[in-house]
Amino acid sequence: MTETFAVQDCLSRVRSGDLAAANSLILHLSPLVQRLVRNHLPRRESEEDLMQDVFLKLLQKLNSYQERAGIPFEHWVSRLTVRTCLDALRAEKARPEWRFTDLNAGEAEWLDFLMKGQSTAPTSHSMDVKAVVMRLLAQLSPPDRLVLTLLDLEERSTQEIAQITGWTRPMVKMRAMRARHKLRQIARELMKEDLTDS
Amino acid sequence: MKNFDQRWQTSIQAARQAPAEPMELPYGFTTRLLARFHEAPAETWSEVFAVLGLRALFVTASLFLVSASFAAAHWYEFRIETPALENPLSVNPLTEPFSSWL
Repeated sequence: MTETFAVQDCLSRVRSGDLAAANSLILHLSPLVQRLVRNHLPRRESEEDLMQDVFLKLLQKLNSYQERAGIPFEHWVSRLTVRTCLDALRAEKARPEWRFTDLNAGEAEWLDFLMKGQSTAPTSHSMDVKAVVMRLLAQLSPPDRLVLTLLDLEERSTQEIAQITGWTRPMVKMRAMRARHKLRQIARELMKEDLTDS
Repeated sequence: MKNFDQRWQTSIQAARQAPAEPMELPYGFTTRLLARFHEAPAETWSEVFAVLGLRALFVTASLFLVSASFAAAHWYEFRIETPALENPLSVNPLTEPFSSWL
């Protein structure tokens, strides 16, 4: 409660042009923004550049922000960050190319598990599976990638995703279902490539 | 046999266990950001047009479709109701002058 009050106090000081308050606001919000930007980062964009874009928009639009009861400021920031990331992903003209041969042994093991249905999950390092998951997600269209990242990787509810993206809940569910279907097709194509190459 | 969705959930769960990279702001990040903020205008006109233009386009297209469908329906009704010729029986050539035939 005190933290919420501090944020509101900080906001009013930033609005009146207090640079020190703007600095502390950025520091306060940076873990949230950085985590979101990392999860939705386009391949050719640097994390710092995208974070700067987010914070710049935030400072420019701060006057249009209206406090609502029960909705924390961080929610507005999340929405702004996700939308900026979505725009950046849309601006990326082509999806990054990816071949089975690009994978290391641990990553290939995880892709095998996903497609060939071994009974037990590989025991290789969790960074390997994260790399596979992020690479697979990067092959999807920006909205599909966004919905699966928010739903599966960040474990957000459909209600939260609807609020962040502005889509309806049935739309979120439908998009997630289609995105998983596309993901399966992409993984299958990769496995086919592997079979034809070997 | 497990299906793809279950295996995807297993993979995602394992991916979430991956150690997070340290959350650190690059050196001088806030200074650069605030300097950029002071240089940039509050909100460029192109951004405002980009947001409003799309909405305006959507509203205009919707209005056009509604008015076009209304006009088309009206025109169709008009064409059906208007007879090609006056009813010849409604005019008595013996009692009424030629000008009233038309």
